[in-house]
Amino acid sequence: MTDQKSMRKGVGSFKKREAHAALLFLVIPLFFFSLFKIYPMLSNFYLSFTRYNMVSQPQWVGLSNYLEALQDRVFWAAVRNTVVYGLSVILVIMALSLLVAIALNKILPGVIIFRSCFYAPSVISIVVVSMIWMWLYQPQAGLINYVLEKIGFEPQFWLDNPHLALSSVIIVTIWQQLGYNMIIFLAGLQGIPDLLYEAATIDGAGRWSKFWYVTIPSLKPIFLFVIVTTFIFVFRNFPIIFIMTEGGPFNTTNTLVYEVYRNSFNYSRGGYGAVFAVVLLSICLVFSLINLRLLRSE
Amino acid sequence: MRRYASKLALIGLGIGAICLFIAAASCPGKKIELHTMIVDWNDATREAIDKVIVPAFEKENPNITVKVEYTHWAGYMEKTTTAFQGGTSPDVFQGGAVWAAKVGEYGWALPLDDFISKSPDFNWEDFFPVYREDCVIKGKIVGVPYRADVRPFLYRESLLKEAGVKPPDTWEELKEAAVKCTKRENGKIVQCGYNFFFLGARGFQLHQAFLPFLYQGGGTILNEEGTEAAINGPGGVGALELVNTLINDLKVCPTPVGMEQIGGVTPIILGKSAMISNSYSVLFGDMKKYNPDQYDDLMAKLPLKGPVKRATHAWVNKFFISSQSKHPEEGWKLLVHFLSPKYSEIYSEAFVCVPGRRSMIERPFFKGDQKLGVALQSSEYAHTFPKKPYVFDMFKPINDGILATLYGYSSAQDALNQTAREINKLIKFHEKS
Repeated sequence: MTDQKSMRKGVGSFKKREAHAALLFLVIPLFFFSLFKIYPMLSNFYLSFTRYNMVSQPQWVGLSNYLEALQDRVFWAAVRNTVVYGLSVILVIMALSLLVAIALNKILPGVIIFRSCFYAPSVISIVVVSMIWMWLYQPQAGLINYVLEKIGFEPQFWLDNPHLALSSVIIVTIWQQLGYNMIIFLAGLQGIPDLLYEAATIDGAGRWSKFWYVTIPSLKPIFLFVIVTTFIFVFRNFPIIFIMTEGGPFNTTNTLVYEVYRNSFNYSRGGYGAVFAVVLLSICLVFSLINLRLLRSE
Repeated sequence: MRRYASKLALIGLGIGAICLFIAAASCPGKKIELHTMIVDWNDATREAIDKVIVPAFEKENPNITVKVEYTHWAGYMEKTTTAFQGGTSPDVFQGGAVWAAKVGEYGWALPLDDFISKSPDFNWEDFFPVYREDCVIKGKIVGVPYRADVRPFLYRESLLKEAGVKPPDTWEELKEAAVKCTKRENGKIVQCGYNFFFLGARGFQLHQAFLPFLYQGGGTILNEEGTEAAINGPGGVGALELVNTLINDLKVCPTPVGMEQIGGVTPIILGKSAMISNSYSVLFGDMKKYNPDQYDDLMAKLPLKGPVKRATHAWVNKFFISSQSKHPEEGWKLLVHFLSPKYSEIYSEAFVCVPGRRSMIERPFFKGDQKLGVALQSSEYAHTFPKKPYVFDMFKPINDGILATLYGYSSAQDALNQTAREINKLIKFHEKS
């Protein structure tokens, strides 16, 4: 008994020492995390309650910025566009990446070249991608309108037409992100044991049943991962909007993150810009919590 | 003891070196370093500044070294804001047309009234009155103009001759000439009679194409006191209706706002547009670069005469001396040198731009270049932006108002009424803080 007690004591003090060591190792990264993530977040939250022109000291104004945002049609346009942009990209990316991954999950001659071609856009700088697509979308000399005219269609003002601008930006985002998510799905597909498919075949399952009852359930964690990473990318996506449309025409491509930049740095309204950042953070938090819940339930 | 002797010797040497360094740094007669930020430049300008303007200044002022930092407009305001917040602002810096109100309001720029009054050779009266006025914020001169992006009326002579029209001088003549100069192939406009704007409908600069017409119609963005929007007055509405007529009724350029740049080159340079009045002076440089054989075909004339007056818009870029500068006197010397007629001409020739001085019209470069000479003369009819630190905020409501009309969402009056409401909201917000 004495031996057990002393063994338990020994284990306890070892665990304590381990915990202390872990804390020591965590101090530095925690310090930097607090400095570059927590502190700016809290500062931003504080600034959203102030009038701040980026130069003088912030003046406390309470909820005035939030009340202004609620009455600002640009704010609501940004919220709407951000949600539409985010959801559209996520839904299309999930479906398309999975389809492409399934198509390329075969040992065929040249499949590696195809995989590389699909993956290539995701390694190109987003600034370069934006500029390339601006050229493609150019109304008079762009390749897309050239092809459209050749096949008898009307050329379009892709980035100047309020009804087309957001879709045009969505297409660029999907093009850029497709390859990365395809690779994730490919890895997921290759991780599904063949045994499951064999068992399904024995049970008389057809192709569609195998896809629906074996592939999809096995890929659920992958789906959640793709949703979260794509969501984060899209909601934070600033370069595409900044380079291609500057939020226009007519606020149709204006997003929350672009308004943070515009209000803070163009208009020197740091307090008001902070409101957009807080709203963006809130949306991301809610979305992440939902995803975490779903992941835990798995 | 021996063990410590070498360590003590090293420490002693180190302290000695530090003392020498401090002594050298605080020595009277040491060279003053002037940190200068240049944002309006190209390769030729950079060469002119690095090889001619700065060396000449340093030769005349052997105790001053000019350290020039070249930067770009993208992110320049953010960079400058950060520099001032951090106390690391340059001694002398260039700033854009809408900067004077901001730098004056924030106290970033040193008032130059005393310097100017003590420097009769600088000849402040030689600058165009409207440009001088643009530099005065709250009764103080906060900057000096080095370049005016003034908008004369530009046209391709051969294209007008081909269409059998003479360069227009009034709005009616413009409509007539633009229709005759417009060419189509398979229903698509391949040559604009008049190209309203060449950067698309989505950016924030659309208002620039509209402002010359606004002033020609007798309109303004704000009332005289600067307390209320006035853009929705008869002048503004008339101007916007003219633009709408040109684009949507007469179809003299592609909707919604005109033919875009192709590969970063403005259509008039490529011969795809016969006329334009929203032109940057960089167009002249671009013409030399991309279509030098046709340089003389690109002609300038004085701005159009609208129903009320002959007028145009000008962006006036200025030099400022930082209020944080430890060498303001030396900074002023640099400005006097840079903006002297001789070096102003060298800079303008390199950048192919219009300076702020009236007397420059007599300089060989401006006498020899039809476009720049007329652009300089057009300064007499120039209007500048309202001198508010938040004038930048006004661009979006103005652009939205223009687009609402051009897209057919509302009439010119309704669109500009909405613009005026937004601008009044901005004024209320900023004047309150």
